[in-house]
Amino acid sequence: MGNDSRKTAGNDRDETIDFGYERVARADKKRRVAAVFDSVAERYDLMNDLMSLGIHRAWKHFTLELAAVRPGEKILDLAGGTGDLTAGFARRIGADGCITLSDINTSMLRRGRDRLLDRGIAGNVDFVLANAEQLPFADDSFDCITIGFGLRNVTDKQAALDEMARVTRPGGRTIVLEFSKPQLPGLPALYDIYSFSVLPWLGRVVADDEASYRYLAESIRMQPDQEALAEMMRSAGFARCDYHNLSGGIVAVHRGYKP
Amino acid sequence: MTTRWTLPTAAYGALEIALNRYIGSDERALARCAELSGRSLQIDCSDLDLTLVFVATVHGMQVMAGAESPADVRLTGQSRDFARVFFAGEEGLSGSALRIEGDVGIAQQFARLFTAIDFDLGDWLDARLGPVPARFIGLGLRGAGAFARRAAATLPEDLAEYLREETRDVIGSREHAAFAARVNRLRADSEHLRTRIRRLAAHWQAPR
Repeated sequence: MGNDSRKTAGNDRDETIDFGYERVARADKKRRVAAVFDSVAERYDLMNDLMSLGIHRAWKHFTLELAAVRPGEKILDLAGGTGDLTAGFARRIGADGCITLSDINTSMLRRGRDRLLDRGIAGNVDFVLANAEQLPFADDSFDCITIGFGLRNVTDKQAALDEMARVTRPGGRTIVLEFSKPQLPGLPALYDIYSFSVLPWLGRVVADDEASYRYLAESIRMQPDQEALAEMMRSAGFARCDYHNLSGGIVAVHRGYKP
Repeated sequence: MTTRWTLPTAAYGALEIALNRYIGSDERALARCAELSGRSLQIDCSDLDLTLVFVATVHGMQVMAGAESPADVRLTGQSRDFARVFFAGEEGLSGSALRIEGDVGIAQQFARLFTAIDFDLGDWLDARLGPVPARFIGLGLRGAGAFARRAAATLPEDLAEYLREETRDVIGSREHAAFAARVNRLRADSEHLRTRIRRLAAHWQAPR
């Protein structure tokens, strides 16, 4: 339980791919991830608050501030789910800017759209159902791209980063908010207990879906660590890549600029 | 081997966010930042053993612990020298104690950018809270600021008055002058008395 499997994780371009701790056929991962998010979409926000004790809001706020978007900019929020980042960006870019909320999962995108409309956020927001590995946008389309807690669910992470680099404008930035490897002494052990005991229990009690939340914990352990992800961003063509550890490295915000 | 001091990664982010908030609130600063886009400045604080790299972009400043490639200009000095040049604006870059390696022109552009940042609290609050709450909060903060400035200005006078009038640990100049005059008179009288005693003693000891 709780083994850090990052170093043994297979390459994203192998015939099989990780789905949590399992190895599954590449086509299967997309289907099974879709099933997870179809299952959790209804209670996604509630579970986020319960699982992170509300701290996910601070992580997202930090990401929004770090993006330093300006009025009139064009933003892409990939795997944007229920639209937390989109809502923050929509206010910052104003009526002259445009943000595209994109997700591969119909249930999540629909929930995000409804939630934004309920909050009165409209006019400068577009919604696009898209696979992050094959983005339906022209080269150099966006000033800023974010992907918040979405990259670990992508089948081919490097392909997704390559696509992000392609559609980012020269001088623009891509920001990856994702679970990472805890850096504080003693934290990994506590984090393991929490991830593999509390999270599945919360999933069972609140969302009636223990398996999806077990997948969440496992997929976090299979996510590349801070340096590995920074290297993947460099391979995608980003320059001046840096990252900021939050909550002792439980989460990291990576950023790269397109030269 | 020396170990350089490194801030937690989130601290660089916090510094960058604060800096970009100021830059974003001032159109001229943002324009200057855009002009410098792609240029970098490395700061080495020798007393703190700390390195900061600032990279200008069209939308703000990126702050890092180190850069992949050498910065366009590198400044080395003590933290107080950096504060004088970049934040207080007390002295120019060329006359400062900072050691400059690289493009001086770029260093001067960065220095101008940092010293010219003009943060308008009212505009910032207005954009976030709306005009009415922003006005009240702004008035409150300005009032608190004015009180703090007044308190800072009158503190030495109040302290002197307390020591002079309440505790009597120090005295005023007029009181001091009168006291000093009394001391001088006492000294003069003592001198006269000593002289008279000496003359009387000489008179009684003289052979008759």
